Amino acid sequence: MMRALYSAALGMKAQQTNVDIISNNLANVNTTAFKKDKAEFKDLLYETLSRADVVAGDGKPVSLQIGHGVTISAITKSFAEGNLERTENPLDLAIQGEGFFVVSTPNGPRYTRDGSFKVSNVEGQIKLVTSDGYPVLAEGDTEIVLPETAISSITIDETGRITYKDQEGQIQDSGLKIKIVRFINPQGLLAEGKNLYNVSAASGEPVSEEEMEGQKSRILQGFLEMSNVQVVDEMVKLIIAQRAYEINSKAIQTADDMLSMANNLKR
Amino acid sequence: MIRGIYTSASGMILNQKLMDITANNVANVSTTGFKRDVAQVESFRNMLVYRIYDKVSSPDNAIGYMSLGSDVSRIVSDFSQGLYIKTDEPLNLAIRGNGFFTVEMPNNQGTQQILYTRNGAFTLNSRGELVTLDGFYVLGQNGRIVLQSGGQVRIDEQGNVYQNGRLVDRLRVVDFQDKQLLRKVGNNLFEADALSQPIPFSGKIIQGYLEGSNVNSVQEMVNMISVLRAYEANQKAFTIQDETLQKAVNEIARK
Repeated sequence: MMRALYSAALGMKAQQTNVDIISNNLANVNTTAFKKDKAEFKDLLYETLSRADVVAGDGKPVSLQIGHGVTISAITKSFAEGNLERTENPLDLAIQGEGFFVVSTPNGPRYTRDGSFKVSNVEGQIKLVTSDGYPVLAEGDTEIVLPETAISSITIDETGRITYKDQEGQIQDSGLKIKIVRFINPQGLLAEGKNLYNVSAASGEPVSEEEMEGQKSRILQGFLEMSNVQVVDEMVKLIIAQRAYEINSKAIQTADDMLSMANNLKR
Repeated sequence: MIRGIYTSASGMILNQKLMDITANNVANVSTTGFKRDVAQVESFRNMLVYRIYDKVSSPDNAIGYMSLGSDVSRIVSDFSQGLYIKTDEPLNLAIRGNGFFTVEMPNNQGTQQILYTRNGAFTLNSRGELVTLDGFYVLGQNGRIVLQSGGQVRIDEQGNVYQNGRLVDRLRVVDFQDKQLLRKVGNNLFEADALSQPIPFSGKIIQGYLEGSNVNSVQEMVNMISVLRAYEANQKAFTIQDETLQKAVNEIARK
């Protein structure tokens, strides 16, 4: 009936999605290596009531166009680094740089920046796994398996090389190096929950940092990457979203009042 | 029947259109780079009213001019600057001053169409090309801008794109002599017609910021109230004329 009703309703709907995104960010304020989302809005199509046409200096120079509201065009992830927290746990790793760890899940490889790794015991040997029990992969896509004695003495250097002390206290090179990959467009990654990401057509295939030139990521042992959600930012966004929702609801009310007046023309 | 009824109705229709425009503005209060629309209202062409039962028709029997309503004559976009929002994302750009980013979008004929936007929320696609969030290519002086994965991207005030200290390209940022000739096509994009030739850009590019919508909620709120009241007044005028007419039809003839 009135475009205004639909435009304002779409405005409310978009702000609702915006609040959904903000509350998910706030809910994950303590999630290790969580990356915050942000809603991006775009205007919808325009209806041209009359087209601009300037023939011989006459006619309308400007077209008469009325818009049809708004929609969320994209939800972008900010891959800005979160704060590093020192945990002193030798199995906690943080990545400084743009890389991702590779973990092997039953559905294929997945990527994460959550380095809160654990060990699981397999017949006298220990395996490096994520909190959910998925094995962490080393270069060459092999799982990281070390002798049981290594558990308290694992050292992982900045490049991801793993060394440990054997029973005699000698430092042994495991020959394993944690695999770090990078994506040309990390914003295109699909978040799957459990801090895991999957590749998509938009993200591009993972490229191992071993085969790349230029600056590489650094691995920090004994640190975890915190969530990059800033509570203050999210609160401000929440207030703006609420007010925007409110003004759109006012627009609906106004349009409705006008319609009711139109209906009262005939009594 | 009574001219005033049509005049009041045209006023109501006009205010409905104004409300449509206001609603679109408030719906886009969070749209990056959105420019609010403002309607200009004009009255209908004046008509000269004559007394018709005069024996001789002469210029003297003209009663005067009157206009029987009003309509929206133009909807212009207000290109004033929106707020700058700091995002710290290297591929978020805002324009200070006049100017538009140039975007290439495939159209349904399979060719590429050139469009313009103030929304600088860009990203890379899987081939490393700089694109808008809808996947349309952002153009530089040499066409599409291709970046490599990794490595800091720095964009200076003139729009030069550097990666790892190497100049990749310069963003094609243009301005227009008469911005009112631009047409909004949705997706935060503007279309230029043949009359509006791009002119060089004189503003500045700011990296790590986005330009917010320039919709001012107070202004729109006031608009809404005045539209509603004008609508109400027209409705009252309409009702009163209807009542007068009712008297004429139902009461005068009775006795």
